[in-house]
Amino acid sequence: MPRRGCSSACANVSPVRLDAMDFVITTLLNALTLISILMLVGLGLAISFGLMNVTNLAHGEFVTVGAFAVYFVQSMGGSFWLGLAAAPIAGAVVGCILEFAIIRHLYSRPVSTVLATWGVSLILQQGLELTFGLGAKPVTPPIEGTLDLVFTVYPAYRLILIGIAMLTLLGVVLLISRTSFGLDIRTVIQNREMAEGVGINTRRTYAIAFTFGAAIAGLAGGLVAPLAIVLPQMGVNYLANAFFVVIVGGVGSIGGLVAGSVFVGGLTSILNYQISPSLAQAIVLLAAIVAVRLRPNGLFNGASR
Amino acid sequence: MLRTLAVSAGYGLLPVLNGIDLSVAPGEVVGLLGRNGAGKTTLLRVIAGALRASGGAVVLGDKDLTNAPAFRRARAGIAHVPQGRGIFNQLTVRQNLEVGTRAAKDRGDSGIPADIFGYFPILREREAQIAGTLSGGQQQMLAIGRALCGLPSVLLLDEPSEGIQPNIVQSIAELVPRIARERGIAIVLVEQNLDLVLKASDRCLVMEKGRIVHEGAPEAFADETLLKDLLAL
Ligand SMILES: Nc1ncnc2c1ncn2[C@@H]1O[C@H](COP(=O)(O)OP(=O)(O)OP(=O)(O)O)[C@@H](O)[C@H]1O
Ligand SMILES: [Mg+2]
Repeated sequence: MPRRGCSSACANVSPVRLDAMDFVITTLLNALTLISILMLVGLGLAISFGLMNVTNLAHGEFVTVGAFAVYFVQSMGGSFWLGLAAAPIAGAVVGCILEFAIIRHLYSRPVSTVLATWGVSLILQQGLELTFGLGAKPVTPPIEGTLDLVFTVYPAYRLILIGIAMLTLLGVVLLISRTSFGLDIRTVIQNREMAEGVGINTRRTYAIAFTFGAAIAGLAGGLVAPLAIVLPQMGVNYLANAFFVVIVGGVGSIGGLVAGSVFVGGLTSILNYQISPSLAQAIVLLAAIVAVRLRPNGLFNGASR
Repeated sequence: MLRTLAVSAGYGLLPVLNGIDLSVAPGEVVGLLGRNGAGKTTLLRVIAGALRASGGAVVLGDKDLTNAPAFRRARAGIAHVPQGRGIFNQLTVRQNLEVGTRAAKDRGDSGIPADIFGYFPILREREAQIAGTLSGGQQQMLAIGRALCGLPSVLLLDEPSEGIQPNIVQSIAELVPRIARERGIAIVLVEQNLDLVLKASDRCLVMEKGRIVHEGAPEAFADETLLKDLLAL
């Protein structure tokens, strides 16, 4: 499979049939792969950065931990799917400990939170390197090979990735809109003091939401592991892109998350065909700044939470 | 029985309450009057736990709640309808009521009590409407209805008549004592609207600069000179 180096989530797949339709659909599916990953990573950041006002610089490490979970399970002889099940659990465990040990004590001190989570991020990176050694970790996808989509052929695993990401997002939407815990979360987001006043333990709600976001980021790491270069430092790129997503999309709605991911993911994967990845990244940043200038409340403001 | 014992509180270094003693019995409506800035809202927030007391105690029945966080007080039975109502604007009327039942969680929550709609039939009609689109009066009824969904033993009402049409103020004046009697709730009613307090309350207190400076039956406040003196109307 020909790949280009790519600083963001995963490399593009090049069209094989080389006609216009092939090009369009391959580009679309490449974009969709990246968008899917960004949505999952961005979700947790939308919760912590957007809703709880916590700048968590260790968010990228949830992705890393998820990818390493898949690697670890596979290296022990387990299947990819077992590893993928372990990925969100690994993310959740790290997230839960981080919330309990550090973040909940620093809600009123944003600068301390930035420094502390930055430190945690470095410690996690070093810890993974000490435990698993230097060098990229191999992760094999559950299925090799491609699927014939009439106009093009596309790697089957990437289609599975897109499917799982969409199902996860649908699950999250249902959780928030249909369950009683989802109602609690929406209440806390809208008015924390009043939520507390009607008997909701808002501290606990925050902790669960934070852990949940970490779990979804871990899942994203697991999903992307067969496509990406699995390194202790891999989380940094996801962190940067997820911040773009949340800032561009605006916080407080799944619609904003989707809009931000489409913007950042779409632009990145289209630009990656034309120019070098680092220039593409710079242009995305520039476009993000312009978008935020034009729509300070996000691309998707005014929607229901 | 709700009691505050020598409660003091403030914002930062600014003291607002200086030793408030208050007690309200089940089924009783206590009206709380006072000029702007006297500390009425602050007192309700301290009782509800939205603001910490710097001294004194808040006691409900035999439970000392002085150091309990707000959600524990809500679950213990203290319901607060704050100034400005605190409606969750983006939720529906029904969801607001459902969230109100969270306070009754530890005391056998059995969903939204049906008789809430007896007090406020409009809430049943508007069940599916987004709460932020209700009129001010309807939002106030929703806020009180939501508080009742938590099956409280204490209800703190902060200026329910603020920004509401006169006919709804009138019906709130009738409902407040009825709710207190029928449900055995101790109600503290903070109000600027004299007609409303005097009509709804069993007993009235006047606050000034963080202290209670006068107490009496509503009839005693009919005397205009006394009122002028106390409230500078
Ligand atoms: N969040 C706050 N931070 C600082 N000071 C405050 C705050 N809220 C109220 N105050 C001050 O505390 C004092 C008491 O305010 P409070 O709101 O309790 O009065 P009130 O009796 O409810 O007045 P009103 O009739 O206007 O509602 C006022 O001097 C006010 O300026
Ligand atoms: Mg007030």
